[in-house]
Amino acid sequence: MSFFEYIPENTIYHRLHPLVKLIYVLVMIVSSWFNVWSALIIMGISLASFYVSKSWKQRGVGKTLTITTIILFLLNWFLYSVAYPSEIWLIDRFLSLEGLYLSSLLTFRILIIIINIMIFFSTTTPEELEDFLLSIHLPSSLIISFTLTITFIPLVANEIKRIYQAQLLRGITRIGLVKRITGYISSMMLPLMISILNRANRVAEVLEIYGVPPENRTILTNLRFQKRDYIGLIISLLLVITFYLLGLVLPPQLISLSPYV
Amino acid sequence: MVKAIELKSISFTYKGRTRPALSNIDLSLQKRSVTLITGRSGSGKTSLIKVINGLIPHFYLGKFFGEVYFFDEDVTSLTASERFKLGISTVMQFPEDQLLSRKVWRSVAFGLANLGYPREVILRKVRWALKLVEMEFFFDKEVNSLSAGQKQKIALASALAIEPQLLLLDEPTSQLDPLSAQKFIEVLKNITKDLDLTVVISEHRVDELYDYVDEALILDNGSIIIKGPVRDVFYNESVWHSGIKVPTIINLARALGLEEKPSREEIIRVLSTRVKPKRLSNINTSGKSGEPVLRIRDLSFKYNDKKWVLKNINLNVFRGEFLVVMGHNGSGKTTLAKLMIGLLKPNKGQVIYPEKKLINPSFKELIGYVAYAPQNPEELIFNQTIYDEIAFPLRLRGINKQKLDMLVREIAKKFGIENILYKSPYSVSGGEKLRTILASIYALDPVVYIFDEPTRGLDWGRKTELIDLINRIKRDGKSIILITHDIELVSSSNIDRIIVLNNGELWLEGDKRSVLASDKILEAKLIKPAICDIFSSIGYREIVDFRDALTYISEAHAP
Repeated sequence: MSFFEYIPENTIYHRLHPLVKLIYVLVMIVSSWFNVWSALIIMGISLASFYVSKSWKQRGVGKTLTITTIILFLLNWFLYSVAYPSEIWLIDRFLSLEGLYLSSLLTFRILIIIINIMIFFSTTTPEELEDFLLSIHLPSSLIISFTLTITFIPLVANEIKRIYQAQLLRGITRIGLVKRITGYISSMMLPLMISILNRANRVAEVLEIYGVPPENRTILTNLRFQKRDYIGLIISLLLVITFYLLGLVLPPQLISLSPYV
Repeated sequence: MVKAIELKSISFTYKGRTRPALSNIDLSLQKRSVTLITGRSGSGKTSLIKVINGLIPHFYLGKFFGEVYFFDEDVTSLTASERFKLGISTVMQFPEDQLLSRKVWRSVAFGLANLGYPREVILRKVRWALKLVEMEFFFDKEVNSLSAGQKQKIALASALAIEPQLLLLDEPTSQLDPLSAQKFIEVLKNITKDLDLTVVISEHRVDELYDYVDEALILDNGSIIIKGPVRDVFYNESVWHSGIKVPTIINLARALGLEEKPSREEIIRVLSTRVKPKRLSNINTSGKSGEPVLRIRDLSFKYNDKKWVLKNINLNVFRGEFLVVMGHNGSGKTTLAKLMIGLLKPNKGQVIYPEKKLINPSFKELIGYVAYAPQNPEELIFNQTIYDEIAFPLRLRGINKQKLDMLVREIAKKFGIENILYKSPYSVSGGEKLRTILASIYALDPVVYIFDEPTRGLDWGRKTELIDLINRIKRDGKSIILITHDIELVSSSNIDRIIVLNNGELWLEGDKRSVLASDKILEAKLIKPAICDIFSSIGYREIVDFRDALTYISEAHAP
């Protein structure tokens, strides 16, 4: 959930127009599927951007990314291994070298998507996003719902933490693993759902008494293109061309795969 | 006189419910009047506000009867959104939910932007509204950096920005500390003096509002039990026994035996002639003896930034003691609680549990020894029946079925819920929910109980009920740490000791009388109880609760 949380910093990414960031993120995501070389380079660029934009400051980001990577990688390794015939088995009929390679590549690409989406949301305020989306004439009720969801993420995250800690002190960690898992689910989910629904209801009330959906909502800040935004657009364009050309001049794979793959 | 709002025969039953939330309400409010709606939780206060602003019956569906008139125009069929455009504005209970942007100015501008005003007009109106609530210097601040009181003032500004004709406030101070609440009400008083505005405010905090409102109405079970000029309402005997908080000044008039509905000044004048200082009863500090169950030594703590949240705190909590921790918002109360329950580790110093031989323990080590109840503890309920809710921690401890059954019934009896054991905890009253969750926490048999602002948002009856339940737990030799800034509740309760935190320092410590009577409490951004203020004004600063007041009044009638 914290993937959508805005991190108040003043990096170059924070200063870019949301449209430029959106195009840049799309370029990164789409180009990573052009060829394996692009994927590798884009992963490097994405990690550097992730650091420079200070998106790593999002809550629990290291833990979440590690767990996501491990799960994605293992699941895909197994699925690729059993789905495609192999010449080199690392564990007979279970995990193959080709599976390892393909899984790594897919995990890489999914991580590129996650990291770039995180960069976009952690450097764009919900207000900038609202003004941008209003300026391209998307329905205002849809925009308000979307930006409010992002605005309320930190509050909901705190709510989750508060209920989690209080319930833990009611004794759930004292017991065996199976009971603990069922205890977690039952004792956390219901109070959390009730709490989130209550808040959602209260916010919906506020929207209603503040005249939502509006017939014609005023754009509160005029986002203007700056010199840096034009440079950002040119860089994005150059990147997409470069990544496409890389696929034409370099071999399609890093390793020699089974002819069936 | 012009009628700002008129309700004719309003009845409403929420969809899926059988009991009406409002029954046959007839109400007429004059233009520029200020009306207080009060009553116990669940009496229909919020529903009445929602009928006026249009959330009922257009947002909340159900069986609705009656008509709503706004300046003689029938607005019954208009939605909340349409009534907003006509000039009906609302301030809700929870400021966080009403501030819909990260920035202060955008939060205030939210409603105006929906009305389609040009940007320049919006900015002008935002600055005007922020100035009205004395927050003009917060224009570009982040909402998250504000205190709860400041947030509620911003919510008020966003309601005022459209220049409404009718302002509805639904328990606007329930989430605020006493000083913030006082300031909020002061701002409200100043605004209504200058603007052409009709105000309807639903509140439990009657002491602060008594001199401000013109009319009052009291709801019970969805019906108006009494309405009229505020003095007439609170001097009515039926109100005294309705379970709502009666203003302290009225209780004093009753104690003095005054029957002619005197003004505040008259009551204080009579009081000054009837007060004779006597020896006050000793304050019970029975809990503060023996070995401490919790020692805090030279404790300091800071979050990631450089500012210390707690500085050099030294504190002992004794077995069977009822300790109250007070302090303004941001004084470090909740951080102290988190350090006590092991959710945070101190940067300096120690949290010691001598009986368990634990120093700076993790919260896992404290399970079963320390209980923690956050704000709105009844939100933690998740089982199908009250029986299962109490049995849940016992089952986790592997207690056999027969013993478990016996224990559940024993605990239920202690908390007065033995007759509703097989009911769903979601279908019972708020008070019964509170008893259920406290019974469930009690089932773990902890030694130390930490309650973190559990009375926030509760009506007076529920607050006193909670204190009664806490005292039952205390009688079993348990140690209670109650974190609160509810000064009136502390004043009227039997507690052993108070500590006051101020900007992370242990500012004041002592029994109730010495702490509440001290002027240092004002320096800690807290306020004194209403009774203390009244007696201070006639030169008796040592009176901090009503029992003491009765001791001083000759021929007092106990209200």
